Amino acid sequence: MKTCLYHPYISRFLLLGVSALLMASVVTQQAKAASMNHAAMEGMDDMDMGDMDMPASKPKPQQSSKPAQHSGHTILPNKSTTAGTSAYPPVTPSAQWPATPPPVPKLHYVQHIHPVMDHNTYFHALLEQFEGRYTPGNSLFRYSGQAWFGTDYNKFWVKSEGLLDGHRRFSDGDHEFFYDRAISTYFDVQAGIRLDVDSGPTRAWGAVGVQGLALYFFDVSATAYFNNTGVAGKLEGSYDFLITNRLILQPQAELNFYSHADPERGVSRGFSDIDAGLRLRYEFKRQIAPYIAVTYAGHYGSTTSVARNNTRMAENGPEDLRFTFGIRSWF
Amino acid sequence: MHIPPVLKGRNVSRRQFITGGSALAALYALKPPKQVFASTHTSGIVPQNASNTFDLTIGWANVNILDKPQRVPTMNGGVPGPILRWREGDDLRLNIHNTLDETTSIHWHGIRCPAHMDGVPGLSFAGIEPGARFTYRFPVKQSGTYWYHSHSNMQEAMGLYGAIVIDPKEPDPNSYDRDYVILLSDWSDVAPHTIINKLKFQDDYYNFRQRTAVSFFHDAKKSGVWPTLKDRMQWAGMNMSATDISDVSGIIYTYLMNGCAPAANWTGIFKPGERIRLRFINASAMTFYDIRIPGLQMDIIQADGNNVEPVRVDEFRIGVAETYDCIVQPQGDQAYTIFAQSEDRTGYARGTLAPHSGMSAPVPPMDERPVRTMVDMGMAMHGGHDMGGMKMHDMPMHSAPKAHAPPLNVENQNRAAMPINRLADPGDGLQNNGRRVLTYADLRATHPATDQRPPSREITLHLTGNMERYIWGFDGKKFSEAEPIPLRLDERVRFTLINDTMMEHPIHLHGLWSELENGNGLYNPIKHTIIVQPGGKLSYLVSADTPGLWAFHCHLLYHMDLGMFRTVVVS
Repeated sequence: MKTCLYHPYISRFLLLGVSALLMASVVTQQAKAASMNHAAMEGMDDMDMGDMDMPASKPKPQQSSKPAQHSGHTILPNKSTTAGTSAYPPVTPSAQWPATPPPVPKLHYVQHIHPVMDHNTYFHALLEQFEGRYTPGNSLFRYSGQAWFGTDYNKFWVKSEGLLDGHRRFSDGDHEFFYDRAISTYFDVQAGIRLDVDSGPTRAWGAVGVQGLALYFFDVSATAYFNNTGVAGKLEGSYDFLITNRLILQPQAELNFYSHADPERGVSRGFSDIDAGLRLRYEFKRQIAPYIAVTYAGHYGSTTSVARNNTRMAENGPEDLRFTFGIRSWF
Repeated sequence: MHIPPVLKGRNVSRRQFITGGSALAALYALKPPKQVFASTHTSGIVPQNASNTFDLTIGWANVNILDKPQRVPTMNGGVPGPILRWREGDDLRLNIHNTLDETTSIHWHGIRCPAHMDGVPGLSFAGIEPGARFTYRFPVKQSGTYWYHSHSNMQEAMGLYGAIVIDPKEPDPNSYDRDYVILLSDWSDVAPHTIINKLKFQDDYYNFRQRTAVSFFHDAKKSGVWPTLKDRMQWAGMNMSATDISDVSGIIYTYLMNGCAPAANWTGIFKPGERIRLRFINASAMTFYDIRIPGLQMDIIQADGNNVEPVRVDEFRIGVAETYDCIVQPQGDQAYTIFAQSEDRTGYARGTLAPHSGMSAPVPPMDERPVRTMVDMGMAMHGGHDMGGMKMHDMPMHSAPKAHAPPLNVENQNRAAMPINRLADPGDGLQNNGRRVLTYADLRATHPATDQRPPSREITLHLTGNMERYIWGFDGKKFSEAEPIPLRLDERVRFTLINDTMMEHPIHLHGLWSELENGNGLYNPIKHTIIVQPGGKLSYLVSADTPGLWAFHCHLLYHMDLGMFRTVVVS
């Protein structure tokens, strides 16, 4: 039966039929188009046709198939033709169709269904540092992470970091809770509280800061803290340097400043301490990346009381360079 | 006995068939329709006859693409769903039964129907509740290739889509012997909400082709150390990435042709010398494809369901939700590969046209991946360095006033300082590739526009977004913060779109046609989805002839869902 349908005579016959039909339709189209063109042009005569034909790149349709335009050109007067076939007819308001937009009606979405979900809340957490820092005979564990929950503009933001030494002493415990508001393309402002909670005495601060992505893809944050003893500041920054798409070198630093020394917490006045790392991570998976690093912790206390009370510094000296490895993860 | 899949000979018009063709009718009757229908989900074969009544079931099905069955919403149990063949002039009844445990909907993409039949939950329609039935009823007033998909809860991204073929009332001007639907889609075992969640944390989560220290040496070797460094600093100085082509890539996507992964090799059978109509539909969530059939030229005869003057090309790009019909006429007794590489070149969909099943042809290597330039940033005049032979015509007269420029804010990262007309530009990754590639400037309608009035006003919209926060929108606002766009009933307006982002956006207006102003005047091509290239500017005319609430959005699904959406109100 296939041979039947595909018999050359049959298909030729059919083709003939189709082409006849085609030609007929083209002819009627031409007639139709001509009259339509004409109708459309009436009432447009007083328009300024000066620069209406735009230099748009015209495709080159095959010569055989150009139904109505030729007839349009020959039948219609010049001026109207220009308007009808103009590439970009100018905006032509009238009394019936003004150029001003109509008032925006009050919309009722059926059953209050929003057609898209662009106002959702998201929860994300990033454990940037989760690492062991080593020197011979002495190891430290440090973590630093943040988590946020909320919409594009309003979020609840938590940051926490701390250091555990071989004697299970917890130091540098810094836990911050913010309301976070997106204010620009790349930056958020944050306001909240900071609690220094660890094995040492507890401190509480009010906190205000900014966090975001500086140009050239630097992740930065700057936060100011205040309580009845004075003010403090923290600057953080990091940069992801892609060696390959999965092997990433990240320099990172955190700097702390205080207006007053707090010997019990090992904090000195002025530029108190820095914690920095050069981490080389491999993103086996985007969300789980082991890393090796060199980390550096420096305390720049000028008073001996600071040194005495800072257990970590007492053991490790004011400048502490260590070999480190850890895992960066997020969800 | 081998039954050739399609012996329809669609150069027989319906009328001929109905009135005179009793002999032909006998032939039709001889064919085993059951066999054909059983495989319509992935066969690409257009059903033999149009129908005006359909009983369709939406339900969960286990679909196994990557050797790990996934429970996804489907129509009649398949991905893609069945090909629906309609007839212009019919009154349709589509009975949908939702057996899912969540609300669903079907939107008829590109179909001009009453607003409450358009299938967007919230807009004149409540969606179809779990267990409920809903009957879509509307007259078919058009013909061509279209498609349908869910407009609910990311079901479309999971597999709830399929093709629509509408027979014209008038005889089809395009003759052909065979008719295949080539429906492209992007499949992932990762759930859409998970994908969005990752992108919200890290916008380049799925991009493993960023510029690195290692690639610096390659680039420096090619273009010199200083230019390479300068280029990289320029991009970094804007917090943008030149390698940002697709938000979601072949890392998690498998690109399907009629539901078949590349290895499964979807095959369409032909006889040498036959004219084959291929109806390409891009039903992907996030992927643009560049399509070619090595060894064959394609005559593009239809775009978005509307006939265009045939254009012979080697290759064309299809944006998400667009359709293109083409005719190919393979002469040789050999197989041909239909090759659809993703725009970012992280994968491809592939199938075969062959005289016998089981044959295949070589699969070409993917092209070099495109890299964004300053043209894409809308700074063509400043730093553009790869303009190729492309012509740049600034669209005069109705260019948007500077005052309209969108704000740089939380939701918008960039402002195209010098947007240009890119209609004659085949798009990033296709310029100067040695092949004849279709551009929007090539499209010319076969029929003049029915509404020939000039526009009475212009609506200018900037396509905006912030990759870092993964927020999308128009004019620096996402859907939930913006007013709807009001149109007067029967008004004719010009939409001018300026793309301030560095990605293509396929913009789809429901319910009304978009007549792309590409310089053909009354013969401007009529589309339902229009790609606006990055740094590009274009316009189209819309006749607001059907009242109601209509969705207007980017058809990259995650852009739409994260804000690049507006409600258009015609009243």
